[in-house]
Amino acid sequence: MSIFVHIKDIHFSYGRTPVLEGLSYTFKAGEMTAVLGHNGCGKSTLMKNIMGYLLPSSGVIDLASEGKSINSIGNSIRNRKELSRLVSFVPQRAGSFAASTVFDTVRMGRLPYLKNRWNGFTEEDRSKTVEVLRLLNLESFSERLLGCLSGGEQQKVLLARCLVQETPVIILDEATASMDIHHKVDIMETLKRRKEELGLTVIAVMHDLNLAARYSDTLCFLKGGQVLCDGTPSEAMTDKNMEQVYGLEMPVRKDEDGVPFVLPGRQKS
Amino acid sequence: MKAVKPYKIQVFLATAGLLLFWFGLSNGSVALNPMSLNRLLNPESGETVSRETYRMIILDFRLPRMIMALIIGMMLSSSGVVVQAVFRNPLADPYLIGISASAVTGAVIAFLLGLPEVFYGILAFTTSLVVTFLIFRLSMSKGTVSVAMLLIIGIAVSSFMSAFTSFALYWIGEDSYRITVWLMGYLGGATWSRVIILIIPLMLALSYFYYHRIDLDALLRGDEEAHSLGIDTAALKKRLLAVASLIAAFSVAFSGMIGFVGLIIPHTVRLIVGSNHHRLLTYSAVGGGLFLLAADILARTLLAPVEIPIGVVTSFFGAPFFLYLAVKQRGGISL
Repeated sequence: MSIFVHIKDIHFSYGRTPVLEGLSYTFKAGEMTAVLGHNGCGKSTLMKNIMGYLLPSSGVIDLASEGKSINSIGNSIRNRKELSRLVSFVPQRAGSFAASTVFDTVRMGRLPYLKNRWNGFTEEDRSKTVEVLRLLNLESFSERLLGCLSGGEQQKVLLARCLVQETPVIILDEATASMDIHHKVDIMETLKRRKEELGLTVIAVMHDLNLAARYSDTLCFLKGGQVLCDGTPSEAMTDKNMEQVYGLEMPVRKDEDGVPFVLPGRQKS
Repeated sequence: MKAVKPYKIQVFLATAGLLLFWFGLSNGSVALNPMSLNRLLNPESGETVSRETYRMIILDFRLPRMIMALIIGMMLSSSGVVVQAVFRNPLADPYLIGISASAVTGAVIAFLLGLPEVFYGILAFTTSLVVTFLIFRLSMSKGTVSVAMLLIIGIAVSSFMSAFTSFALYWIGEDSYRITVWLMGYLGGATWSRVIILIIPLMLALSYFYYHRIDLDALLRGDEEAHSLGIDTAALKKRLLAVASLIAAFSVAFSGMIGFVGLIIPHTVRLIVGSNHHRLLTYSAVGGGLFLLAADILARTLLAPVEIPIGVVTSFFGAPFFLYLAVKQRGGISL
């Protein structure tokens, strides 16, 4: 099941500070979309709205498959329990260093499927966890404590939890921001592979333009709480857009595969 | 960190429990020969008079008191585990949100009104419930409880209540020892009926916590992650805190303020078994019960026939131990 995420004219503000101002956009099913823009433009807030962690003050987020609405987030979440089986989330870094093992952390992804809280997790939950750990080459870490891993490895564990959660939509909020290039590529390759195999809709807030251009199907630039422009990497990454989004003179170049890239540019005088 | 094999912990706890019960039943202001326990069990042997005395000392005084120590210890430490998970802070404690201070205030009010002793506990319980409810109300905004606000308001209310208690103690003067008991904890008033009254909320609360053990694990990961795993974090936190407060209020109403149990036991157990709440809740409850049992035995045997207030014992031995753990870990205090 591939899912479209339709954002329809949503507004959101923290107290009196408006962050999202009538944002509308459709994240296409089975695609990886990178959401880019400078700090404070509303990227993370948009993600929290799609997760239903924050509710928009007006407007609706509709999750739809084959033209039929499955769940929606407006003043409230239409089906709260089901939402966690539709959308999963990888934060920028692990929320705590609780003394829990990698295995326990990843198996937590089965929580939305828990039928009976007295009995706890089932054998099926265990085998699905083992499967994903093997898939991401994390088996040898299984009994290690999360807090004892490097930042890159921790993020991989959180991605594993998302895969165990088996949601058709995955949200990453700067999930690779604090990682070295080796781990960044590792995470993005895994994600891309799973996306193609299962038709996942991946929405990733990113700062690394070149990484975004290399792995995403679509780039979506935000500015001032609205979508400024979007398109395939070659369409959206233009000199003009770079200047508008970041206020920098950054000539966009292309590598031999035709993937655009930029180098840090000069401030506009 | 090395994981300790569960059977080792179980063997340790079981041995400690048996030893404590044997020692606790046979020692006290009147030392009974351990063999006297046999005499109690075999009515054939021994003299009738002494048998009646043994019977009374053991069945009417020591046994209910020891079971009460177990129950109160289980209440305090399991409530500590839950409060720490909700606040995501290993230093949180059920007393932090104003429960104990308001219970003591209730006892003070009972004293000031000249009510009979029975009402001390009743008033302590009602006051702490009312105050806890008020603190929850005050920290609510848009239907959800803000945990940070809860902490701030709890601390403010606690200080206010403590000021009231201090003033009352100062004012009452010589007679204030009857309230001091509340400040330092006392298990001497244990009876079978009290044991039965306490065992019901304990069982209900433990079942509730155990039912939510996986949700507690998820809460440790932070609100956003817990939400993405399908948990209504605000509602769950509110309910967990309410139940934790309730059993803490019960324990304070029946035995006064006994410090450090809700802090030190969960922390120690977490170091040994990790923060998986399935194990953490189980071992903390048992460990907390046994810890308080040991503390109470010390309280009544160390300077027998004089009794040391149990809160003094738990803090006197608990605080240095806690310091030792904290220094050994060096900044590694985490959930």
